[in-house]
Amino acid sequence: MPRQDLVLGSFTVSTDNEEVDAFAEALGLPLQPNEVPIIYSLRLLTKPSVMEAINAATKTPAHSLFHQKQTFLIHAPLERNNVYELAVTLRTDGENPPLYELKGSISDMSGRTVMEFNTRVISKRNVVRVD
Amino acid sequence: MSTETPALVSSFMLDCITAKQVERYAEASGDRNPIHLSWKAAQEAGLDAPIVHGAFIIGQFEKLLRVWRPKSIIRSMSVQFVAPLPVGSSLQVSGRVASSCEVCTIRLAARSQAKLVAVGHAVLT
Repeated sequence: MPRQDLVLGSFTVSTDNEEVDAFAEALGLPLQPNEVPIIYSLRLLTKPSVMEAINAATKTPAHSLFHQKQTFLIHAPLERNNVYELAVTLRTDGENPPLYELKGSISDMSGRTVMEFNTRVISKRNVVRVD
Repeated sequence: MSTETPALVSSFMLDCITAKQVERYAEASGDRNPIHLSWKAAQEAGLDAPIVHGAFIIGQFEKLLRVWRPKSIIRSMSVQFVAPLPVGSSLQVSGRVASSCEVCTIRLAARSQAKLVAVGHAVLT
């Protein structure tokens, strides 16, 4: 099966102050007042509605997925206590592929793209051993 | 005008990333994949032990950049994971200026006991 881009949807997400603080503290990340870590964009992927869509599309148990590569392109900083739209696309190579790429695009409510990211995970379950 | 020359290399060390730290990150990030939290799940996935979240390591790169270059703005960052990092490991995080002009490129590396765990680069202005 050829490479496919599956649009998983657009999700309304937010950067709640307390969640951003807890996230930054867990990383030991020093922030200026009102800053949001870049890596917080991945926190948005674990919101229940987003995770549900990802799990339904990959049909792969979480424990067989390993983070392989991550990129971020930042057009403008995320702001605290703000609401954003997160558009997520899943790129796969057919059924049960060894690699998945999640492409996320975060826009503010005016439609301006503030950040794009690409998360590549490898499914150990679907890797075909050649040795 | 300041005559201070910015350092070309910066690094810091986490002596031991504990299970408690990983649990705290799992809670704060919402990523409760059991390969990070459970010995049984990790071993079923072919690992020797639970492993630290990849995003935690990226977060350490962001920490390095924010502490080292607090006046800079991160424009992009790319990280490739080379090897899983078992919970309980040390982690040395380092950055080196690869090119510096109006746009500065930093090469990033994370090592545990000299073994490469992740590499990457960031572009700052």
